[in-house]
Amino acid sequence: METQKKRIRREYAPLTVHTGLVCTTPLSPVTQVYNSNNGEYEPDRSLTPTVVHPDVVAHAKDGSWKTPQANAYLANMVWKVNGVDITTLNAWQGYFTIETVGATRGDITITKNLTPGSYVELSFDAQLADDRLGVNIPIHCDPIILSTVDKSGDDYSMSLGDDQIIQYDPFKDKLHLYEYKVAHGLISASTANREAATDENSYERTIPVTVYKGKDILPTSAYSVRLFQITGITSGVAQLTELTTATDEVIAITNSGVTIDLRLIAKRDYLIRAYVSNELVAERQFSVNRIYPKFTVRPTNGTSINPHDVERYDVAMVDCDGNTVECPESIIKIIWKTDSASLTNVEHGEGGDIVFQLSKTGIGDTYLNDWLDVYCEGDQKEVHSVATDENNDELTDENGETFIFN
Amino acid sequence: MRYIIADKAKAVAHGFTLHGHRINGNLILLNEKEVECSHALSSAPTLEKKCELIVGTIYTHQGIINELEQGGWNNG
Repeated sequence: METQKKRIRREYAPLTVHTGLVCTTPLSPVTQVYNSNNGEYEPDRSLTPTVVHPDVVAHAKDGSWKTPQANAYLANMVWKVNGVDITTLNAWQGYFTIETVGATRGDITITKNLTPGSYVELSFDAQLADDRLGVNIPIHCDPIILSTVDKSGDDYSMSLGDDQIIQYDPFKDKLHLYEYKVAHGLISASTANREAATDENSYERTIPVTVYKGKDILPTSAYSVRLFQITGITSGVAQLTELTTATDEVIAITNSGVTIDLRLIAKRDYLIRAYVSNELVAERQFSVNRIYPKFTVRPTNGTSINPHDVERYDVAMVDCDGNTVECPESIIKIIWKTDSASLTNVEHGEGGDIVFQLSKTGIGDTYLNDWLDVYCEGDQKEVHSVATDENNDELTDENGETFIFN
Repeated sequence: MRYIIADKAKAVAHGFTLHGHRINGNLILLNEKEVECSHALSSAPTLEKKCELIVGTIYTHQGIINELEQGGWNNG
């Protein structure tokens, strides 16, 4: 007699997906310059196009998703200009192509030169086909701004000494690591060590500003600099909110540059403006993205369990971009788990290392059940937030420094 | 800004990618800044010398538009 059939499926962890838009042609950037003296765009996008890549990185805690760069699995891709599907806009017909294959699937190549002084908001929506679970995950990339700055030969202009799209990778931030070690008593604070840890990957990022009149560099005393966040685009006009050093992520604004704390930013667009006698003379836009690189986490304690052991210690080893990550718990939320013959998916705690009670794991005493699988699940921590109390007042230390956390 | 029509294979060998560039057979179109800022071409002191390394010809903006009107270039 045939029994009833029971279908049992593999169980997969859901995907964690991080997205962002990246201009992959930094020398044909999202901000163009229009030279009204000769009527030329620099560069002319019809000659050297601008390419924007939707960076879609997917990760499953259980390691069952094998392709972190997930562009090849995108479906129902829609690029939007100011919130409208680009394929429906007459003004854009023939001025873009969208890549459909491979790791660059979803990339948009733009050959349109924008009207000088105009701004458009470019965003990307799609679905990520997760064939493990049979679901489509909605993908939304926050917009970036395309703009064209009008400049004639004798006019004022501005140059930023940094990338137009600044990408913050916490795994490369030695300053963050230095401060984590100091805060946890692993090393002593030292000005020299702090300076040594501060480089182009640090969260404390200074964007140098230079203002020109014609080809001559203006002295910093000849103008003033103000920083704005672009909060949206309405009818081709950027909606701006002025930022000051009272804003959480702003560390300093001087006429020679602005310094911001990248830890507090997931994705934002900014505009730096220069004023002479309170009149706007030049501006430049830049964006900040937090990126989520691929990493692997594994337990390292391979020693056997002795019959009289009551607890077990383990340390996580994290690799990213071919390097072992120091103090990984400062960047990654690491959850320790065990499976045994009688209990699976038992959670023991969070951190870069762990001590757990063997009695909690369900490990047995016979050859059939005296084994234990130890593993950890890792997720990159999100952007930092400022700590506030119930009255929304910021929490500070004894020196008045604001606490942040993630 | 000036533009450079270069040998595609030479350009790729010096770190340029085909993705996002206009191509015509074995030719690739680059802009002045791309060539000036190329790390792989940094040994050459001038734009003209850099172009020699990628078998490139320099055009003005109007000159390159005239050249592209001959046809054969894809849209990048």
